[in-house]
Amino acid sequence: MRLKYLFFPIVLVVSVSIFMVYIWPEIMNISSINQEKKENEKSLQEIKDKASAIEAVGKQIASSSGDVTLINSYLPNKKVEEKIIGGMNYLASDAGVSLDNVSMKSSEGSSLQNTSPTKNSAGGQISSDNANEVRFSEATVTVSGGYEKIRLFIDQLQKMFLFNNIKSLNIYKKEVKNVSSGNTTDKKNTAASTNSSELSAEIIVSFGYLPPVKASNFKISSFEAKIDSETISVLKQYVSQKTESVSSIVSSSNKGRVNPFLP
Amino acid sequence: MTTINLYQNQPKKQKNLSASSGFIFSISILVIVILVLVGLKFYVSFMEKQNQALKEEIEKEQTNMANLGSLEKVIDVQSRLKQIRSNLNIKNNQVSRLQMTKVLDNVGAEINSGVVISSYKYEDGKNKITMVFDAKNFSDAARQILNFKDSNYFTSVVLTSISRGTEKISFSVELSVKS
Repeated sequence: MRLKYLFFPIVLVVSVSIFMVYIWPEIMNISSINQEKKENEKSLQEIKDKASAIEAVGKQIASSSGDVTLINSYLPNKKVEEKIIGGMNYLASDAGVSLDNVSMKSSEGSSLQNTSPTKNSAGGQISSDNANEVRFSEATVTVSGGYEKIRLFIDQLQKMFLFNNIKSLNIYKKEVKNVSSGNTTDKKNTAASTNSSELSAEIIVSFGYLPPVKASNFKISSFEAKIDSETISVLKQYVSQKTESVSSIVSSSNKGRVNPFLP
Repeated sequence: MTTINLYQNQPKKQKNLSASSGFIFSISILVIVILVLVGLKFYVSFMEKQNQALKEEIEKEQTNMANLGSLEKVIDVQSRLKQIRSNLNIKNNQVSRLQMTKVLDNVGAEINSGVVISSYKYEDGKNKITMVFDAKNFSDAARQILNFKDSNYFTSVVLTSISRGTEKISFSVELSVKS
């Protein structure tokens, strides 16, 4: 009889113990599993949305092949020294300055100066993967002429139809050397005059190129389901159309010689 | 007439009945608790299987997406546009990057009569302009420095050197373009 009375509190204690030890952790586990499930469902939906967005943007790109050509010409996927030299020569003659010298060297990695959410080594708004960084060919160009002509050349150079960044600009008065020989052959009187209106400008410009971006180097999470049409329209307005035709000029040069050692 | 209640076993029976119902109630609680536990175990296992299936589907969709023919082309174009936008510093449908001619025009706007630039150097990395001037006298040089200091376009104006030459005063100034 006494056992019957004791049974209820014992069972109550056992039930509460089972609830605390086994059931409560399971309930907590369910809430975390539910949370995980919601996140997974969200991720799956995002992936499906992105996949359809990629297809939509792909169709948009395919339909606007002119814009893609413009983008690929402005930021090519390989070094285009021939376009750089041809373009600078074209701009120099167009501005009426004398192109005294052009020297070029390659510099690996990005050397942009602008700021961005993800800064690269040079401050460009670039994805974190090194494989997706712009690489540069650095050109040092020296021109001479009047101030207005040099100013025009610099303006057109900055708006040249190639991804560029002027790193340094040095304008100085051109030294005009008057060399007059005396009666004796070894005596030379060299006088330097700086009163001339002729100026020289030494400009260091980085011309960029971006190797084809591989999907494996790209973070899918950073994919945007649209094409930046603002950049395309601004680029079209900004760049000088003069140098657009340079590539065709360069490629249409005559070739084929019987003796390449003779002029 | 006197009435005497001779029935005495009635309370004892009730006591027995309540004890057995308490026993059943206790057993019921225990059974319910065990049933809930078993049910939860099944439910958790079911949910975990569902999550695993979702993860597998996510991986499959990711692989499918990576194999999309247009993906690389889209990514390539988007990356190029991103770089171009950054380099030209495009904001509000306009190119905001520093234009060399604009700097030259602003320098020209600040130059006094009686002062000429003999050399001009702009360095992009340091955002610094170094100029060497020739002036007729110290007064012109001082006015020129003041012009730059009062300018709304330039900042951090520093006179680095000044000296009298044979015919002119030569002085050098460093300044930056206001961002």
